[in-house]
Amino acid sequence: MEYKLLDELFSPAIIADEKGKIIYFNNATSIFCSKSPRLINKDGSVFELFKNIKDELEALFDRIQKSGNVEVSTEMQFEISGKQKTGVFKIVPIENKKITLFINDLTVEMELYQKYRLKLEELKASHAELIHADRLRALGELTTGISHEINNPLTVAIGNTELLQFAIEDGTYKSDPQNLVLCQKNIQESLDRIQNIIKGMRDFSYKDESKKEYVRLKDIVDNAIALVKASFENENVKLVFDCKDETLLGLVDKTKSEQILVNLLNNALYELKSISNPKVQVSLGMNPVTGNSDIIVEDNGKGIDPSIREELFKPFITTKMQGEGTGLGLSLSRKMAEGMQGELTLEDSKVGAKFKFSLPSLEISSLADNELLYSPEGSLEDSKRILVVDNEVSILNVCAGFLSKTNYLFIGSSAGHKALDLLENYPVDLIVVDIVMPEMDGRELAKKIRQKGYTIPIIYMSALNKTDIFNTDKSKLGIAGYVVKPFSQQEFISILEGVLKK
Amino acid sequence: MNSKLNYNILIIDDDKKVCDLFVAFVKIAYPNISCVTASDVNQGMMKLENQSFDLIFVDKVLPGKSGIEFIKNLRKSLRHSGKKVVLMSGAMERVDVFRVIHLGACDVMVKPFNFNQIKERLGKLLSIET
Repeated sequence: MEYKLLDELFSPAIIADEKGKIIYFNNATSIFCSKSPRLINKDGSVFELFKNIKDELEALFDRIQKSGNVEVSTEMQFEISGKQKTGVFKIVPIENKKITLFINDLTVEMELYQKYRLKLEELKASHAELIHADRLRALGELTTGISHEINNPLTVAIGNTELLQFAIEDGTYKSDPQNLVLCQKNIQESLDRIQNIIKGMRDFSYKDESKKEYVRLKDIVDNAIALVKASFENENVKLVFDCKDETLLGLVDKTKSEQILVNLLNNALYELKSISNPKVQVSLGMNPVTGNSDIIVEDNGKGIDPSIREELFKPFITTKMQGEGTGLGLSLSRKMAEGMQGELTLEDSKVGAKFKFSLPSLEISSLADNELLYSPEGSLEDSKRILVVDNEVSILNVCAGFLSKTNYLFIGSSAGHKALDLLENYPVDLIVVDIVMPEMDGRELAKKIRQKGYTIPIIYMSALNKTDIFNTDKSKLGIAGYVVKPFSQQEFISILEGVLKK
Repeated sequence: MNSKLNYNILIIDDDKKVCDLFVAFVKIAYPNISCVTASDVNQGMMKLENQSFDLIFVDKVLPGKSGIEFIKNLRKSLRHSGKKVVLMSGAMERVDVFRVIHLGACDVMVKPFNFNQIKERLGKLLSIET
């Protein structure tokens, strides 16, 4: 038989009988196996030639006997002539019970993929290092301001220690013990003040894995402002915080959020160096159009030149003098914001620069954050969605933590009306509500949920044992269960399981 | 050796505890020095109108006008331009020190300070033999 056409193929092709005995093989086979034709002939059978995957090939041959159709293997990795190869085997039955074996050589692709994966891991590690380095740089920019901040209470502490010493040395402490008490008090307060300042810096610079938690957005802004306050005072730049909504919560990486704000504030401070009446205003509020929480930092400086507005967030673009600044602050800050499903943008403004750091509503973040949505093991069908409604951040964090390693999907909400909005768009399987909440309490929320026709089981949560409320609402509003704070992970999960079983 | 018997100094710092400390130190080191304190530049200027001082200590970071602006104002005014002013600060870059002396401060004092530093500084600036 002429198999000349097979010789023209770039990839291996072998003709064999139903028992695997090699009748013919092309040149490419020899190259692929790194074996001379003589050695291949010596092997004689495909099972001997590819003895590393003998079992898989035998199974393929078996299938062919039964089906009489073309059979294709999965991607297989094997060793031949001391080399690692990756390939897909396709077996085609031809006349007289013979078969043709084609091999799709994927060795190069596999090597590239491994290298790519390694590079990706390296890139991720470098990125994390970069973020940490940026954080330390931001901290460095605060140094002068912070030194000043610490040196004042340090002065008081040292000085009062000396006064104490004098009082003891010349015996006046006996006649004037009030003085001793005052000195001690001054020393204590000063040291506490210093400790807080250092703690703030340390929390900021600590290198931790990215972790999201439920936080009050006002706290994040307050912390960022506390870090830069001294620098601003040092340069006599006014810093104002207009908090339009104290209740806004977010599911964010706290340190990264502070880092973004510190970057924006430090940038503003730098730009205002030669301005008269320099002022920076930070505002926090909910955007009624988008439903996002917006943190806006605006200054009354010269503003951003239109020619670089587009470029500003790109890496290595900076308006600072050479040697000052890395040019990476804004591009990293934007990446960090996006990592929290947020955005960092430059807004239009008449005077100065106006930056907006926006974060999605708690409910959306919470939903998007569920790893189960992205893991191949978890199935959306199996996972029960648990919505917990509580205005207290700590409770949301605790419940999220309890459910994090389970098959339950945790969604957090900070207020009744927001939970109702969520329910209109996303189904949940169980709702846990805190009885005590400002504006709309747990019972009102339960009532509204039933009014809207939802039959989702509801569990009450409370710090007090209010079984009478539970008993009343049990039949009226179909409240399925009751949990008293503080509760353990076991208690929480078993109550959920109990309710969901029914 | 200075033959004067009594001295008046003005201390401008928004941290009351620092002011109190300063006053307590001076009382121990030089009982013949009287202290007046103020918590910001405006208050300080008012005290200056009512009394004459031999030496003024002013903190750099103050609410409202800064210590540096205070020094500039002093230099501009005919009446006070000759006054001796010391700038205090929690943190000073080298370039700041030159700038401040150039503006007319006669000395710079970095916090934290202790008793001996105050004693020597006062002795030197008021030419009192210690």
